[in-house]
Amino acid sequence: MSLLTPIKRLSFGPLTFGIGAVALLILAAIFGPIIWNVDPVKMDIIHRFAGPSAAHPLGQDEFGRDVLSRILHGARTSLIIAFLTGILAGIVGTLAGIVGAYFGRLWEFVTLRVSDVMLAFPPILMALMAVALFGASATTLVVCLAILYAPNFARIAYGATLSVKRMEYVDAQRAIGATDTRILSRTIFPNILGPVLVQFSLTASHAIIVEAGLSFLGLGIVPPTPSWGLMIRAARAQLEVNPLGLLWPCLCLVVTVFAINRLCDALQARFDPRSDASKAPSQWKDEVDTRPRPTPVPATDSDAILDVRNLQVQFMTPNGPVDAVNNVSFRVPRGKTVALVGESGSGKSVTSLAIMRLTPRGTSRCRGSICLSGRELTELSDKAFRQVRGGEIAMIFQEPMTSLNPVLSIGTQLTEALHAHGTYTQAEARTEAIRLLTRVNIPDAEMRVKQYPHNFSGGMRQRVVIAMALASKPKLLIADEPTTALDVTIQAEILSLLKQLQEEEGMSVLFITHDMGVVAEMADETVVMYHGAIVETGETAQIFARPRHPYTKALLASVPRLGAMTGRDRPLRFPVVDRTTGEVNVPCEAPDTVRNDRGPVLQVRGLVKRYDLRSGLLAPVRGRVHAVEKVSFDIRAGETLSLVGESGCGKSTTGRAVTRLIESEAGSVLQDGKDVMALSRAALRDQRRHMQMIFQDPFASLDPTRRVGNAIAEPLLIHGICDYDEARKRVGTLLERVGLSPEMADRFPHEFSGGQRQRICIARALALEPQLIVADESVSALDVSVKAQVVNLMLDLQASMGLSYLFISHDMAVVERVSHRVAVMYLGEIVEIGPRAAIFDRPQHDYTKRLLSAVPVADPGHRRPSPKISNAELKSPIRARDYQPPVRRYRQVGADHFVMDSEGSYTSPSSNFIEQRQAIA
Amino acid sequence: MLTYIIRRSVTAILLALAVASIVFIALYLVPGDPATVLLSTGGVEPPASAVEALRIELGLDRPVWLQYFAFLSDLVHADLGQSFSNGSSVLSTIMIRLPRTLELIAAATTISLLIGVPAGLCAALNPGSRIDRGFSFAASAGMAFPVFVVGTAMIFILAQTLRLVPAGGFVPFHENPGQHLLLLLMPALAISIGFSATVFRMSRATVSSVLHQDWVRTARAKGLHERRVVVWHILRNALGPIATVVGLEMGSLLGGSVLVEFVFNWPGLSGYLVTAIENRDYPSIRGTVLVVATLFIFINLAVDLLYMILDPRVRNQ
Repeated sequence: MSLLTPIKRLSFGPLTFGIGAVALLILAAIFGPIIWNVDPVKMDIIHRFAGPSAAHPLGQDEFGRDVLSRILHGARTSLIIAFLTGILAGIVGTLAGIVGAYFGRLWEFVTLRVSDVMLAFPPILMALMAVALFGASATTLVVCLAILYAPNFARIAYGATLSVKRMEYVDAQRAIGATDTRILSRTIFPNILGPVLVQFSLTASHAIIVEAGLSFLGLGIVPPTPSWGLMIRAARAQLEVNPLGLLWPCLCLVVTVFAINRLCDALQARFDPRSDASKAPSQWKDEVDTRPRPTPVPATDSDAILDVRNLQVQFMTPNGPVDAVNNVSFRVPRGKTVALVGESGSGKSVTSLAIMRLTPRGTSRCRGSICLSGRELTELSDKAFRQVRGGEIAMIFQEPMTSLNPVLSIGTQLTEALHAHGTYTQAEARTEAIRLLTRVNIPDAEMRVKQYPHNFSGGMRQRVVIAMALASKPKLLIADEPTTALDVTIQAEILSLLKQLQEEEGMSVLFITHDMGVVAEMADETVVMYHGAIVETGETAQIFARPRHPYTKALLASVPRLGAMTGRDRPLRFPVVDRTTGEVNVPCEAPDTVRNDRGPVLQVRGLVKRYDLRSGLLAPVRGRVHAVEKVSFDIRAGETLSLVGESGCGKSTTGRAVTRLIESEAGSVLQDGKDVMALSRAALRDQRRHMQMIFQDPFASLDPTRRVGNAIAEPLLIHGICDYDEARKRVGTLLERVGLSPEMADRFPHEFSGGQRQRICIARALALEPQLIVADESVSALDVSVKAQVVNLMLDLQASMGLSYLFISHDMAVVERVSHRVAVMYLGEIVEIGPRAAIFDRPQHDYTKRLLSAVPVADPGHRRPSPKISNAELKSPIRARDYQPPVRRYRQVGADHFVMDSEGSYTSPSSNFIEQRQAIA
Repeated sequence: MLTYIIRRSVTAILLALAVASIVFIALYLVPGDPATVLLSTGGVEPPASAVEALRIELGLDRPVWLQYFAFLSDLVHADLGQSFSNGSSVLSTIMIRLPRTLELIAAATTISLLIGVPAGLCAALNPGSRIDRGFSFAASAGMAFPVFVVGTAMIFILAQTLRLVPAGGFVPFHENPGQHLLLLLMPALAISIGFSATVFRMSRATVSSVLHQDWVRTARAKGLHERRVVVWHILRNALGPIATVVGLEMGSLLGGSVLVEFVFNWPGLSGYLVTAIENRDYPSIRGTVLVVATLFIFINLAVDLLYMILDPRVRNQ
């Protein structure tokens, strides 16, 4: 997750070993020649090739020179060249890489192209050429190698900066008004230091080898300066007489390079998040399980397809075994849908993986009984189980974007599932694959079967995964959060497809989800999990109507329900339920915070943001993304305006354009009467005091290398509001205000949970006492109960500080809870804007209606009829280069309630889109 | 797809042109007049009139941009000039020696792939096992042995002490195929020690990152045989990055084989370059550097195109 997490405890691992070994080498090179003070070039021809003696522990060479002294001086030469090369190349390359990635455009072009050209020269060859041109010397070597290795640093720094730059904590720094220099030096640099250090040690070891190699050829270090390469060269000529002469310099060279390489590996493992996967996992020490075996209740229920009894799953961690699932028993009746619900870490996904025997081998173990149609699965051999897996039980997963193999065609991936469980000829398998694709409503299946996953949108990929699951006509389908990553309208389509297929195929479904709305929509029975155990099981309607366990009560209380706000004008806090006692604290309506007596805090008029699409820096524009198109709205003091819409509708871009984190093409943004668009960079930084942002991902919006106290104090220091001591005091107050304790200021972000981090981000935004906070999907990544707490905190702060919020969200139920007014965005435009009650109770625009009807309602008594399945391909605001956006008119339909005129809007852009995209291609 | 191929090819040609220009500029800026160098024998200052005549003959008196133009036009006509030391055509010498270097690189690459990829796959599939730790340690050690150390040690042990093989040299294939292959095997093995370690590390890293991808879980959930999962959903996806590293490494061997050729007395391209540098034979240096750098660029182009075949996402760009 982070590139540089602070070292918590120092253990004797590979890193300590690497650092120790290299430190020893450096000490030997610095102090060796001082302690062993013998002249390395003093000849003593009489004693040439003399063996080891007290005066010469390693003997004497062909000129009778002391070998030990030459080795020690050679170490100096090698290390000096290695470090100078590394430092020179590192400084030049890293700077170029950072600047290229951060400022983009021309800087980027120059950095990348120059690197490309320089990387086209093989290093040894260029070193040879430099020696030919400028003569052999250590200086030539260092300069030449530094030039040759700088592009490697540039590339590494460029890549790392690009990925750090995407992190929300960099945006957060800009939003509090930090200068570019400050961001580069204080935020970007510490976060890319890891990969740069790895590259440094890599360069050092390369430079040592190249120096030794060139000296070995007689083209590097000039004799009589001691160098290991020269010593090997000399020894090679005298092999027959003095084989030992070869041993010492070779040994030193190999050990040095080995030590630096080990250090490099250890650094890489430490800093590269991807290397987590390659780390050796903790294994079970002994295979014998000594715990008392729970006595399985004999399976009596013949009506159940799946009967799970006393399931236990343990994971081995470095700190010992951890119970992920503890004594779980439930059943799935024939032809029914059972939902397994719980928040993250409740063990619901692990349970489903355990049923499929997909928990990681070696690091996990499962016990208990799993019966499928009365057959015990846990006793089957792996070979026999393979027929069950994907045959009788099929599974679909959460991430449609990654759950298909990107390099194999859809057809291949479908037919291999068919071949695994039946006998088909190639032609039959292909026909069946096309039939399956048609079955899940993929148009043009004949043509699509030849395509690759990247040709499909997220919703379409999920359909392909479902088609694959249907391949073997399974008795049971396990769906692990199948719609969580999808937009709400796509979710509605996938859910209704699943329902339809279940009815037609007579499958049973085990549905794993965290979304109570989906549970209410889909499940006949519900199993609630908490901390790896089942807390409540029952019919879905009963659980929603009369939850018995305190946790179920708390969970249901914090679920935002669409339509729960009918008849209210103002936002409403979530009820707070004690998880242990089940006591409910019924919320009162928030006080009226909107200041209608004053002018708006924020006035946005005709905001436009477009992105050019081109294939290269100098290539012509192929088309444009009309991300934000003539967007206008007002926000009053103490008011919350929500921007809602699906992914790609431009709501986040609008938020960033308003705060000028990105520059927009046209329009004006008046904040307290000041035009934000017209401000100079310095004035803008100043203006940012009044306008703050909170971001989506609580794990990405705090700099992992910085203590949270410093992060919160930084805006105060940047704007020179107070000195350091005063800032520390204020940090304490701010932390208390968001429900944390002042002592937490000295901790690092990774020590906090997601909800706590989001509170810290709010504290940082509050530090400057802004009028307006832009909250970009700020509660979307949080678990239901945490989400409720953060929403309550935001409402409390609005009441106490009179804050205005621009609340950007795709979650209609939360929006209904917190907003005074709502604006609905579609393909970059606002299609409807008005008071919250009006939008939710009397939606006027087709898109608003569709959006609202797609939201699952967390009430099993009110299941909607399945929406008619539309196969609308991805909607996208990409237009041809010469596209002229039509002039929009808005109709007033109620007090303060406006809707875009239907003429020419909503449907026409998406139906025209395919043609336009073809025109662009 | 075709546009992609064209674009990559044009980029490669432009890069080659940039490399040629840099080589020209570097040689132009070098201290010391080539004509003087050419006429100096045994440290005696040549007569000024002779130098002047030679400057005119070599075209060194013309303005720099004209020289540059002439240089480019010679390149287009595949004319790399004559060697200063013996007057032979640089291009024909290169054409004799280059195939030997390429043969050596091909042999080393084949050995390294045969060792590195299976070992990397095996280690990644059993992370933390004894096999994994053993292979990984061997690879770290292998990378720490510079090729000239390995080569010198091999000659000392196999040739001089045990007298199993000759101490290097070259015999044309048509004269004695067995001896030719034996003499090829020695330097190829010396290169493979480090090269196969690199291939191993890259294979292990790529495979272990593919191992945890969602599609591998999907493949298992479909009930596929483990062998099919490993070959089609793990190894298949790891091929692209492995091909990239192998291509880069092959390119750098073009220059890097200089040491091993020197140690084993293999009369390839790099040996020619070392002699040329010792003699300050500028046309030979320039020609060799140009040919090697251009080959390097075109190997990278080939890798890019191979990547395109391996990964449909790149193909459709």
